[in-house]
Amino acid sequence: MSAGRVHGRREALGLLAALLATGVAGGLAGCNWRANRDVLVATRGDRDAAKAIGEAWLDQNDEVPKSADELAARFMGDASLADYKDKPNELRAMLYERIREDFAEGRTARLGGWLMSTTELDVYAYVAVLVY
Amino acid sequence: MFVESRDLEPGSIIEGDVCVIGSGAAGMTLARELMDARNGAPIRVIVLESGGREEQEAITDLNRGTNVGREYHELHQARSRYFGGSTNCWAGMCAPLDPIDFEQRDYLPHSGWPFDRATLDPYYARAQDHLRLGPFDYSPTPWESEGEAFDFGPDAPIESGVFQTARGAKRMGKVFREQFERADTVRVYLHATVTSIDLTQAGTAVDTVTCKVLDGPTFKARARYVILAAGGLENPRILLASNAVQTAGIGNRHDLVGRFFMEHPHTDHESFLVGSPGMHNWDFYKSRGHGQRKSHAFRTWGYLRVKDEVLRREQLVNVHSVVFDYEQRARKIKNKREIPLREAMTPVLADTDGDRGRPVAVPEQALHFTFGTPSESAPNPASRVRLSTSSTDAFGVPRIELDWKLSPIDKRSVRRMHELMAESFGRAGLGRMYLTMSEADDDQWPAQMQGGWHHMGTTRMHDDPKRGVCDATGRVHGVANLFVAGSSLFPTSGAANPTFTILALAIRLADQLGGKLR
Repeated sequence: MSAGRVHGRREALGLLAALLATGVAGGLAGCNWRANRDVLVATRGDRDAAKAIGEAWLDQNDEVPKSADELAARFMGDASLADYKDKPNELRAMLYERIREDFAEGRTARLGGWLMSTTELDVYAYVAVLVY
Repeated sequence: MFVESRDLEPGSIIEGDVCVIGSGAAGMTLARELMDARNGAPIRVIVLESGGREEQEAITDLNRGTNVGREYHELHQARSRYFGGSTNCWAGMCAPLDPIDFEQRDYLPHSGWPFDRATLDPYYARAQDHLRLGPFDYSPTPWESEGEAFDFGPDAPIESGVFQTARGAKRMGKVFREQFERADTVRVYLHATVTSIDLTQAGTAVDTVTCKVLDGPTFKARARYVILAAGGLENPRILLASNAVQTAGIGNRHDLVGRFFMEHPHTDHESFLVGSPGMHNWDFYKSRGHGQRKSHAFRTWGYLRVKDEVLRREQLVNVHSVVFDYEQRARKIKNKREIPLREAMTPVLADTDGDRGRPVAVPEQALHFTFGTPSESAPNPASRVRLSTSSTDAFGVPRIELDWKLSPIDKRSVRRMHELMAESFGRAGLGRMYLTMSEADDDQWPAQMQGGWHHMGTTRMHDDPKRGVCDATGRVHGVANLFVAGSSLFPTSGAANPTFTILALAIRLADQLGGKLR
C-alpha cells in the first residue's frame, strides 16, 4: 500500500508536528491536531533537532531513501499517512508502538553512538527531507 | 589484645590454636567469629598483622610491585597494609554473588564453584551483622519506599538488583579495634610481616610461620591451624615465596598458585542516557541512607543487571550497571569527549514519556545519566601473579609481578550489556542511550576502564588438586592444616564487589574450624 501523499506545506507541517511529538514518545495525549502544530512546530529547537538527527541518518546510511514518500512508506509499513490525516493521536500511538517493537525486536541502529529505533530515525529523516 | 611485635625476643615462638595471617575483611571476620565465647570453649587466636594501627609508608612500601600486563593501579595503592587491611580503602558496597556465578557454564572455561549459592546464603546472612547492614534481602522490593525499581517487563533482558553499602562498619579496623583490645583469646601482633610459611619436612603440614619486623626481631608463630588471609595478591606471593620444602611454592605442584588473577573491569561513564523525568522516579537507583544511628547506618543503591537466562543464551559473563547522575559526576569524567548529536538529542528526547505520563517538553529538564559498569572477567590462567626475579622488598621477599589479562568475552559482555540497556530503555520509553564501546571483539578497551582494587582467583578452589589450589573448604590441597581465606579463593568473580562474599566464606571457615577445635 502507498504511504499516502500529503499536499501543501501548511498541512505537512501539521502532520510533522504530530510525528515530532510521536518521535520518541508522543506524550501529548489529548492534544488535537492544531495544538500539536502550535506547540511543536513553533518550537524551532525541536524542529532543528529533528532535522539534525534526520540528516545524520540520511548521511550515515545510503540505503535510506531520500524522498519523503519512500521514507513514509518505511515507517508507515502497510498503513497510509493519509489515513491518519485527522487522527494525530492515533498516528502517534501507532508509531510509538512501532518504535517500542523496534527496540524489542532489535530493529535498531547506532547513529553517532546513539542506539535508536529505525522507525524513529526514518521519521526524523522524513522531517529533514520535507520541512527543510 | 594487641601486641607490639617489636617488643618480642628475637627467635621467640608464639603459639595458639589458630594463626590468622592478615587482619582484613577475611582475617578479622574469622577472628571475630572464633573469639565469640558463645560458640563454646575458648579458642586461642593469633592474628599476624604486617602493619600497625595506622598506615605507615615503610609498611605500605612492602606492597609495591610491577605491572607487566594490562595497565593497572600501582600495587601499593590498590590495597592497604595495616589493621583492618583493605577495608581501610573499601567503598563498602555489598551484594551476594548471583546464582549463575557459581555454575559451571559450558561457554566459560574454568567456571564453576565447588558449591552453589544456597550453600553460602546462611553465611551471607551472618555477614550482614558483621557489617551492620539491613536484612539479608537483595531483591528490589524492600527498598522501594522512595522510588520503585523500573519494571522492564517479563520479556526484558535486564532486571534490577540492589547493593547494600556498609557505612557504620565499613572501616573494620577502626570499628572493631576496641573489641580486639578487650579480647582475651585473640592476640593481634602488629608489625608482624609473614615472610614464609614453614612446612614440616614431609611437606604435608605447616610447622611454623616466620615473621619479621622492620628494625625488629624475627620470630615464629605455631598453631594447629594456619589461615592465610592476606589478600588476593599477597596470598599467592606468600605461598610462592615459601619454597623451602615444596620448591615450586606451597600448593603449587600443578603450577596454579597466582594464576587466574581476576579483577572487575569498571567501564564507567562509557554510556549516557537522555531521558524524561516524567517517566519514572529514579530514586531507587540512587544511593540512599537507612538506619537511625550513625554506627549502624547503611545505604542502598539500585543497579541493573542482565538476567541469568540472557547471560546463558548470549554466552556472556556477568555485568552490573549502576546509575550516576551525569551533572554530579561530570567533573569525574576524565575523558570529556564530544558526544555527537547530544544537542539535538536532548530536546527531541526531553518529552520521551510515551503514553505513560505527563509531557516534558523542556529540554533543560531532561535527565542525563551515565553508568558505572563493573563486570565479571573470565577465568584466565594466563592472567597471573608471579614473583619478581629482580626485585625484593625490605625483608628480601620477592616483589609481585602482576600480569593482568582480559578475554574477548569480557569486553563483548560489557558492550552487550550497554546495548541491552539501551534497547530496554527505548522499549520502555525511558530515553535513548549513547554507546561508545567498539563492536570489535579485540583487546582494546575504553581508556577509562580500570580495575576496582578487587584481587581474585589466585588460589582458586576446586575439588581436583590439578584444577585448584584449595579444596571447597579453603584448605590448601596436600597441606593438612593450612587454609586460605579471601577472594583469592574465588573460581569465578561474578560482578558483585567481593568483600561481602569474602566475609561469608570466612564465617563458613570459622564454623568449620570451630567444630574441629571445640
